[in-house]
Amino acid sequence: MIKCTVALSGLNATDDPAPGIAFARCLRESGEWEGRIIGLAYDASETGIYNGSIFDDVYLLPDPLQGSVLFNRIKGIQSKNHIDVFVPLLDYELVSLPALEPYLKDIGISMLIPTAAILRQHLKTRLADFCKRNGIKSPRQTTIVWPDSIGNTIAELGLPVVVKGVIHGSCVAHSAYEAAVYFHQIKQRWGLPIIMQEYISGDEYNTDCLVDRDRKVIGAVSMKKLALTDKGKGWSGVTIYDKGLLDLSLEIVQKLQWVGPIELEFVKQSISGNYYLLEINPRFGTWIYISSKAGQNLPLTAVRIALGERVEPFTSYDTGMMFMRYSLDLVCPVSRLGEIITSGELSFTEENSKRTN
Amino acid sequence: MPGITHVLEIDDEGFIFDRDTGHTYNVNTSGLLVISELISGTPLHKIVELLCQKYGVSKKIATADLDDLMRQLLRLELVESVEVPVLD
Repeated sequence: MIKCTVALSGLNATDDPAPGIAFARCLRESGEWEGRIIGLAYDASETGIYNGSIFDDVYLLPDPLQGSVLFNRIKGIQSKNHIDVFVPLLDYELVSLPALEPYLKDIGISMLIPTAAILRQHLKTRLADFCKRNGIKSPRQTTIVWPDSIGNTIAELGLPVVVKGVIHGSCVAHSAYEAAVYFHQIKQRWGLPIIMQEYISGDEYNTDCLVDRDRKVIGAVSMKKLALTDKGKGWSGVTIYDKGLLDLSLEIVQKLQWVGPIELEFVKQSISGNYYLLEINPRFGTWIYISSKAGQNLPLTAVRIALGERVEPFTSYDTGMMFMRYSLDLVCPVSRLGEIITSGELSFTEENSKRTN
Repeated sequence: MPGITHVLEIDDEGFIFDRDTGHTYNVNTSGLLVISELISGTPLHKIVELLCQKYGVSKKIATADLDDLMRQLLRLELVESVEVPVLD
């Protein structure tokens, strides 16, 4: 039994969810872990904040780009609520966290993340270069900062075309007009530059991997998306075993010299059957809960590795395990919203202890 | 001899899950018989005989139906070739 306190971010559970709730469920339901889960959020509207059956305490954090401010906030939380492992599950946190890792280690918080140099390779603006250097198929893409460039880019990449934010957000545009609308929407939410990517028609597949500190792949699970939301997010999926896909995923992870959790997103081109790497996420995917049901509890294993344990690699997983998302209303007094906004923290500890007793 | 190229998980009701690609299919009982026999490596002319025996149809009809199914499987890339047995 592993006993520790885990803090994690990515608490949103909307139709564009983050992986925090899935990660926490993998710990709670494992039967091999005992401890507290601290939710870390950047906005009071992250819906998972209000789920007292998952979290013991929740804290609001400042903008992750303000490294020293973020560190001081985590240090303050650490003095009240000893955290053993911090699992960052949002892409934009990884900009500042590698620099903070040694300082967090000094105050007793372990993480399992790659170095800043390795992380830079996964950035959406650099992915095409990485793929080209390593002979990995990926869609052609161009980075733009002015909407005036959309016409020329479409002439080069054709239609439809994928318009992507540098950190998050992605839409398929079927005309230059639509591309311009998405350009402005994504710019407003995620800033510049904007990536325009060739659209490859085919089914979408993801592989989530976990790599230890010696760069040994400890686990990997592949999934085919069965249903997508209008934002292109997987709403349903099924675990599959395609040796070609898994081998390609492991090759990419090794070429990146990755450490920690990683998600690789592919499209299998309908006409050629070739896999194209669409995106790399420096964390587990939002569907990671299914890994625990398929025989590889990758979140729990990531915690064990973060704590310094040496673990043996998984050798297989169950195929044909399907996930289906569904929406659920969380009901709580509105005072909880006031509490998190005004004090920046929310505790379910008392409520949970009553429930247990 | 054409065999199934993917690893398929099949239940008794004719629901098929392709564990390589994640695609799912439904087949009727005769389709289930054909695919199960293809997985076992049974030659096509033997499958024709099995269809004739089980469903009491002529060799001509069984061959035509098998040919039709094999072409569908080819389109789905579940077999690499279609070698239709020559009618006597």
